[in-house]
Amino acid sequence: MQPGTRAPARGATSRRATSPWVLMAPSTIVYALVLLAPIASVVALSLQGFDFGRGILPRWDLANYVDLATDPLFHEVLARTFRVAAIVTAICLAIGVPEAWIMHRMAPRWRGLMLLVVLGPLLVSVVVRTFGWMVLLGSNGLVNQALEAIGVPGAPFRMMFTEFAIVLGLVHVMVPLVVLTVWASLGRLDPALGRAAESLGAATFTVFRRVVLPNIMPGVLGGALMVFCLSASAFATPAMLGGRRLKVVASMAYNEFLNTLNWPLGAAIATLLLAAILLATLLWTRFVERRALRRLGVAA
Amino acid sequence: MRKLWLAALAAMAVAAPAAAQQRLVVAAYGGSYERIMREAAIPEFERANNVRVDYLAGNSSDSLARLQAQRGRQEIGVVLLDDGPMAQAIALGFCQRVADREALDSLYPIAVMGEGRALGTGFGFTGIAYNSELFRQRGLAPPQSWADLGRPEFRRRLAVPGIDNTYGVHTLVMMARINGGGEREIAPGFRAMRERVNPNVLAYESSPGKMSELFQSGEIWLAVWGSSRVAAMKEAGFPLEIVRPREGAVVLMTATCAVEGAPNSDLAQKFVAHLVSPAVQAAFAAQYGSGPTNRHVQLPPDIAGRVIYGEAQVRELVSLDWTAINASRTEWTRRWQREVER
Repeated sequence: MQPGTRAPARGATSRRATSPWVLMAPSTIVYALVLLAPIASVVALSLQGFDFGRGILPRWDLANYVDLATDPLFHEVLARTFRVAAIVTAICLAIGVPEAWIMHRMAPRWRGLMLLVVLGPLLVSVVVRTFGWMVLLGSNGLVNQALEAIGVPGAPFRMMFTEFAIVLGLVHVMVPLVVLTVWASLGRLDPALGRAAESLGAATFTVFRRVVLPNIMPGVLGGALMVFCLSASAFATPAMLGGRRLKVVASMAYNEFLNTLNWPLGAAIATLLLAAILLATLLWTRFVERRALRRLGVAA
Repeated sequence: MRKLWLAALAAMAVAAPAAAQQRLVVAAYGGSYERIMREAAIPEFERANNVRVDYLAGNSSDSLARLQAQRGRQEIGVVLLDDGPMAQAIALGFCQRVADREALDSLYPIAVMGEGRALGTGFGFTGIAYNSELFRQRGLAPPQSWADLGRPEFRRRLAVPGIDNTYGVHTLVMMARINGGGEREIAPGFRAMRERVNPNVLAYESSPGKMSELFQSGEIWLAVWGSSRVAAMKEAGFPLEIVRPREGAVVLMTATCAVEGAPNSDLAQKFVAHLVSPAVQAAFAAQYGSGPTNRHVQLPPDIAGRVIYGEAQVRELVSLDWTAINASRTEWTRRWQREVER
């Protein structure tokens, strides 16, 4: 603390105080333009009215939201969306976490190959992937043919246009996301921890459950959140594998925009979906993630 | 490097007159329809008028949604829609009056919509399409009536387009008509759809691509569909037949109009007239199976036998009251989603 160094130090501080803002400005502007502005205009649109003969009405009220709040169909669709998302998330965790752990323990030359296999679904276009499932799951499809050939009673089963098909299609593409996030956590895990547990007599499964799993929890929870959000807002897979009968919120919004042309109602549906997902995310980080991290001693 | 830039600039200056060529955006159906447009209708028009035509493929509801999205600053110059959505487009004020009197007068009166704001480009009909080979193998009698959609042996073997689609609207209205209702009395139609047809429906499918896929994989045996879609699949070698049910098949006209407030409106008007000219109409009759709307079109006998040819044949088909339908379509869509599509 010499007097001579003070003045330049203060200059550096003020520069240090403004430079984060200056540096952030480009990305802030981009986000404001490509993310916030569209969302704001969707919300604004959701407050307007619609008439089949006259188009969008210049009216500002909450009529669309009142409509949806009292609409049993919307309740059913909302419940289905979140039920499917929850089931998909659970299954993805059950498959993805052990998968990442097993791959992590593989010999390095196999690891790269297996990672490519796991990422495969992400490399295929959603339309092709979904058409593939349509071919497999149809009542004359390969799965049913196989089941009939081995004499499973009750075959052929009805699989296309069911929630089962939607869940299957979504799990197929979402598992890699869990594997990747867990993989990243495993990379940060000190291998000595596992060996220490083993040297103290823990079996492999106990090591996984008591040592590895708590440490990779941030990855597991982050992956779960990602899968949940993407499943809840998924459009193409539910629309193609579930058909028009099994609507989800995203396909309902699509219908209002492109078929009924009732954009304001579609915007209201989209806004509610966004709000519901945001709420689920906040609750998740608030109650589940923070608690898990606190157990790890990461967060205060 | 500097020289390269100069050369590039010079090249651009030379290319500029070509770029100044006028553009016309046409929004119309995709699939086989687009191919025929690009082969039989667009090149000649481009040459004759020194214009470039940009084709925006989509079904009627997509194109109508685009018009609505761009209301006030239209980019689409000419739009092609099914007659129902076209009636709505006219009601929404998207269509200019057709300026070409000669084109207007060459059409059958039935093909002129909204006091000359839109022109029919082709006649087809909605009927019941079925896989003839599968029906023969299983010893099933081909459907003959709209009521046959409810035959118990078709359980989960039927596809019906959704109400967003003109074929779906036709199905609903015909179910109402054969059960004592109609466009203004739709309740019997909903009841019949809910109680008799819905158990047979494997999927409500509006997309022609997915409908073909359902037929090809053998998932469905029959569907409510359009004559030209069936013609296209037959052309590709699939054993598909379409029946005109005994209560009547429903006429489905494709129609076109020049969009109000779009740039190059004179070109748009010319293109509309071009689409109903005998040459283009004959090409669509031969390749798309759509009946000509122009009275002066002469078709060779083999093609004439395959399409709806002449006003007398159009009159044999059932035509619907689109004013009544469009007035209640929002409510029908609501009811359909809640009562039928379950």
